[in-house]
Amino acid sequence: MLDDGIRELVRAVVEDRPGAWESLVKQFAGLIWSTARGLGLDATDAADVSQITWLRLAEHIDDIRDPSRIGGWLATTARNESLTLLRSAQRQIPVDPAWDVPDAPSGSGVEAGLLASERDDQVRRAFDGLPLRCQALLRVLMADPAPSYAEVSAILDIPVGSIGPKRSRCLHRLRSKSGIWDQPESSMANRRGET
Amino acid sequence: MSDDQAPPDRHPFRDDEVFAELKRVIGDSDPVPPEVVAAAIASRTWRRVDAELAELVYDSLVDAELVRSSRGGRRITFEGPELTVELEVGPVSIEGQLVPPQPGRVEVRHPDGSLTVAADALGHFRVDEVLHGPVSLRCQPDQGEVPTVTSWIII
Repeated sequence: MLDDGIRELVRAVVEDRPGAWESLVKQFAGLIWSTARGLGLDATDAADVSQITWLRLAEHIDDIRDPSRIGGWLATTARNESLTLLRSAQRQIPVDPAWDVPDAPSGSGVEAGLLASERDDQVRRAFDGLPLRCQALLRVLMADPAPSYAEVSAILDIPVGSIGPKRSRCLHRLRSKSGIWDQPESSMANRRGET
Repeated sequence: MSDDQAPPDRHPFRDDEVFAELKRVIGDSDPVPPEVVAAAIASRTWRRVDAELAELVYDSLVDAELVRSSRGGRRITFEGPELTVELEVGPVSIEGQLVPPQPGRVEVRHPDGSLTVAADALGHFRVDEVLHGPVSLRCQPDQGEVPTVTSWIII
């Protein structure tokens, strides 16, 4: 969303116009979730990070000075809360079931899952084999809607100018280590057909 | 030889194609759970109104990792314009102190409910239930007009 749109949206939230807060959540919930997951939190902790990030915004919404940078503010808050949780030994205490959130949602159907699973598993394994910094960067870039580079910079504490090159290096590493993408998809399909 | 000719890509897949597949497999299989979105939307009801904010200024979990003693729980301090709130979060209870010491009511707020305890004449209070997750305290001194709410924190 363009800066003007964000500014207008934040103004609407401050004025408590109907639906404004919901729109803001829709715009940034994916970014916050990807931040927490990208930094290695499980679904339960990521849910806590998401909630506390929005609670913090609720207590600070009237103090936001530059509405166009609210994405960076949310991203930084989510990052800091994620890092605090990662340090917390007390989190080993089982959480109240009421706070629990199911892990990755189940697929749309078992059959579709089986068909797609072979290559998907390869992709997943390749991703898991990447250095954590690469995983975090790529995971954050996958957020939907896509984050701005300024937001990514705030989350990972890296300069905006380094994001493109880092993304490229991480993808290169993924490709060269896994070999999954060495051949065009069509020829892979053909080979599969022959065997 | 011309420079404006792009070098041949050694890979049959471009970065964007690899990323798109990665996003489909990794990102799209881990969308924001609907409960998380619902909780985010519900957070709006906790907007601060007519209360001073006491910000987190100290958290032993973050600030004192190296010197944390084995005894005692996590120590947290919130500082506001009128009131400072000190907490020690143990496994089964929270000990609290209002500074300056004074009696009042302390509401322990969780996103889906709250409970209220009294602070005694010396500003001490105790909460005999520790619910893990986000929490914020709303402190209303008996003699004060404006309550103080602490910043939200995950315990």
